[in-house]
Formats: sequence, structure tokens, C-alpha cells
Amino acid sequence: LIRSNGKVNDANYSPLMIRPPGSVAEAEFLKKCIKCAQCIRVCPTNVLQPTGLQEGGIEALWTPVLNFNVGHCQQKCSLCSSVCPTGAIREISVTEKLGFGKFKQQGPIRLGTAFINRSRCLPWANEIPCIVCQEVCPIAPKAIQTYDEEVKDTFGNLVVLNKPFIIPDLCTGCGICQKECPVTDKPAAYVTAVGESRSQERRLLLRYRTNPEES
Amino acid sequence: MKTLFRLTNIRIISQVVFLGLFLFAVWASWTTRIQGYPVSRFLEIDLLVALSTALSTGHIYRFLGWSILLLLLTLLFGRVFCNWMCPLGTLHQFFGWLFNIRSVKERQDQNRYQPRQIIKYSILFILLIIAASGSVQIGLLDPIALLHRSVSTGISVIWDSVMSGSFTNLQLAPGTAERIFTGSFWIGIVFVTIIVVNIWHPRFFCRTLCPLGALLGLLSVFPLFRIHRDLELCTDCDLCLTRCEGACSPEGSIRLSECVVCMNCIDECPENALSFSLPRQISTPVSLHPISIVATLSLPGSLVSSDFH
Repeated sequence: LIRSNGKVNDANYSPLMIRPPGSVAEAEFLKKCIKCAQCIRVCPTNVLQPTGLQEGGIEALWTPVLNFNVGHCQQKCSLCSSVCPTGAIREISVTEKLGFGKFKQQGPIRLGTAFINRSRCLPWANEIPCIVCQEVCPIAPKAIQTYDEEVKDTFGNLVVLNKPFIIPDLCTGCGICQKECPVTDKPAAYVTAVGESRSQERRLLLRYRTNPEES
Repeated sequence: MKTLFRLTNIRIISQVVFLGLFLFAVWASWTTRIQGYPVSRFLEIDLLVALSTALSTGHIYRFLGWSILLLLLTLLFGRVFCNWMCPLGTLHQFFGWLFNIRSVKERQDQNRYQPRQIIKYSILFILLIIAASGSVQIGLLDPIALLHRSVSTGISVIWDSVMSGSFTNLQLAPGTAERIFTGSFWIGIVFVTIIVVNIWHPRFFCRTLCPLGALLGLLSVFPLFRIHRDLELCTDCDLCLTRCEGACSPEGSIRLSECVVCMNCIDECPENALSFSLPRQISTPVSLHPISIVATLSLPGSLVSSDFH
């Protein structure tokens, strides 16, 4: 009955339901998470927040969720996975999180995918130069790249705009672009849960919808 | 009688130690302080966590098997966890004691068994059914999870604001000015409510709501060690009720599932009629008057047998 709001299945899940790195798939996650908030406590950037009602309904109340308006997920940190007592966030190493070493085949752990809202982005919508999201992107090569374009702005001046776009192949959903976007209330760069690597069905690109054991 | 080495003093030391350990674990689970040592031991010996996740997933994760220690402890001594170890229980007892301005008589009435204490078994039952059907909700009421959540997202915000200006900026990652937690108001309200209720109903949470207490209560129906009352010495003065933590009717036939083994009744008893010991031949009138046994055997249902049971 609690689950009847359909937030768990893959058809109607909330774009805001971004789980910590290493989390198991959502249905499994709710079988394990006991809402003890230890992950929220150790998170160095404060990005982990207790889930409210709008993300996951009553069933997921006070489970951990990432809010990229508050912080971002540090690249070289897997503390939340090491304190989880029940394995809702399984224990991962930084190597596994970033997809280095023996995890190269599997690739980095993706929390979601970033998007650019072109009607709120300063270069796209307002012809004001800004490359904050491209600069802060920690992935190499960068998951946010730019089109360079020379335009005349409202005042008749020639400006060079670097209009950002996302490369979903590279984006891991760390959310630093959303955190640092100067349009702070509803950031023009934003991360949603689609593409998260914990669920096969929620992956964005077909080429990643392969079973890691097969490849 | 009033010596320093009373069991209750040892109990209070144990409670302080475990509360301290819990607070240390909370303090230590911080980015700059966590050094690889485990800080979630409390949750890992929490039998309810192990049981409900085992029900929902079919296996026991990592260190949750340590809860077998708590299981054995409970089978041996009853609900000692509740009044010797549980940090939330300690807080409840402390606040109950702090706000206790009642007379002895009122306190005795407060600590009598009340039928509403059955509610916790219903809560446990419902939560376990929900867990078995694939959604673990025990964290909402499990004492350790509840306390940790409240301390780390509700109380620590206040702590942060007290400490800000001294070394807060060292503790947080660059770019994080202060910590906020969405919904921490409601988490805090739940916590403050269950603490404040202690003013009117001592240990309301432990007696009426706690699902872990209910689980341990079900396990401690036949503990090896238990509180015994010597009917010969007892004068039915009801003094044992004055500081009874579990509302487990020590004045009558003790309800072992409610008893949290606080040992206060042993302290209070002026006749030394109560003891915490191994099962033994309870000195009921039956054993003292052999004739009544004969009467019981020969005349089942007679007045004699109903008087001496």
C-alpha cells in the first residue's frame, strides 16, 4: 500500500531521487535502508540530505538523497558507503567509484546525468559570457564542453559566448555544475536521476544498458 | 543496603559508558575524524535491524551478525539492553528523572503496568510484516536509528551554529559554508516530542512505542536470570514501584517482557524480598505447605488450589 504511489518502479520514478554512490537499485535500497542518517552525517559537502515527501513519498521518508543545490559529490570520497551498516549503500572504493584500475571496464559509478536548461543558461538565453559549469567539471575529458560563438548582444557589442552542452557518455552526475551554476535558485545546469548506473532500466544511453558481467 | 556497590550504580556506570560511546561514534563519524574504525557498531548489534533486513533481503549484511551477541544477552538476562546499553533509553530515564517532581504515591501509580504497553508489540508486528513485504520502515522508530538521525541532522545543526567561528570552516569541504538538512525540523520535532512526553509519562517511548524493546521483550519471556520476589518477605508495600523503569509490575507477578532489568526495585525494597538471580524453587506457599500440593492434586478446582498457586 505504501508503495502504490509508484515511486519505486522504473516508469514513474522521481528525477530528484538521486542516491549516494554505491547504492543498490531502488527497490533493494528500500529493503535495506534503516534511515539512521550516518551517511548524511559523514558527507563532507552536505550534499546528502534526508529525503522529504516529494522525492520518494512516505516510503522513502528520511532516506539519504543528494541535493545538488546544497553541495556536490566529491570525486575522491566514498565515506557514505563505508559507514552504511545495512548495505543499502554497498561498500565501494574510490577506485571503483571513478572507474579506474580493474574497474575500467565497468566505468565510473554514475549518480545521474547533467542537463543544460537553455532557457535559464546565461550564454544560451541571455548572451552573457559564462563558463562556470565547464570549468568546474572534474571529469577528464570534460563532460561539459562548449560551442564558441561570436554574437552581438542587446547593447550592440560583439561578445564571444561559450555555450555549454553535456556529453552524457562522460557525465557521472557528481552535480558540481549544478552547485556552482550562478543561476542559483533553479540552476541552468542540473542533474536528474536518469542514467544512474545502479539500475539497468534507468540508464540513459543504450550502449550502457549492457550487463557488466557480459562485457 | 545503601552501599556504593549497588547493582544500580553499576548500571548507571554502564549507561554512561554506552551513551558516551554512542556520542563518541557520532563525533567520530566525520570526514576529518573517521580513520577507518567502525562507528556503526551500535546499529550492528541492533537485533531489529538484522532481523528486518534479513526478512526483506534474505541475508544478513556484513557485521549485522554481531547482533547474535544481543540475542544471547537477552536470552540470558532479559531486556538488559534497554536499561544498561541503549543510549536513547538512558536519555529517557535521565529526562524522566530530571522532571520528576511527583510524590512517591503518584510515582507508584505512574509505574503500574498499563494495557497500552501492548501497542509496541503491534508496532513491531506491523513493521516486520512491512519489512517482509519489501520495505524496511523500522528506522522510523528503532531507538538507535532514531537517535542517530535526530542527533546528526537535528541536534548537530544547533551544535554547528554554536561552534561556528572557531573551527567549523576546517571541518567542511571547501565551498560549504554551513550545513543544512532539509526536513530536519520534523526529525527534531519527533525527537523532542518523545523526550518531552517523559514529563507526563516516564519512559513512554520505551514502554509503549519502541519496536526493539518489543522484540527483546518477546525474547525475554524465559530469561535465565530474572527478578524474583520472595512472597514470604514481601509486605505488599508497593515501594518497588516507585522507581520501576519498565512498568513491569514487580509488586505482583512480574511481567518479564516489560522488565528492563533496571534493578531499582531491588534497591527500593525495604524487606530485601526482591533479587536478581537464577531460576530456583520459588518460595511460594505451595512448597512451604505440602498439604496444599496434596490438596491441589486431589481436589482440582477447589478453593485451596486457587488460594495457593
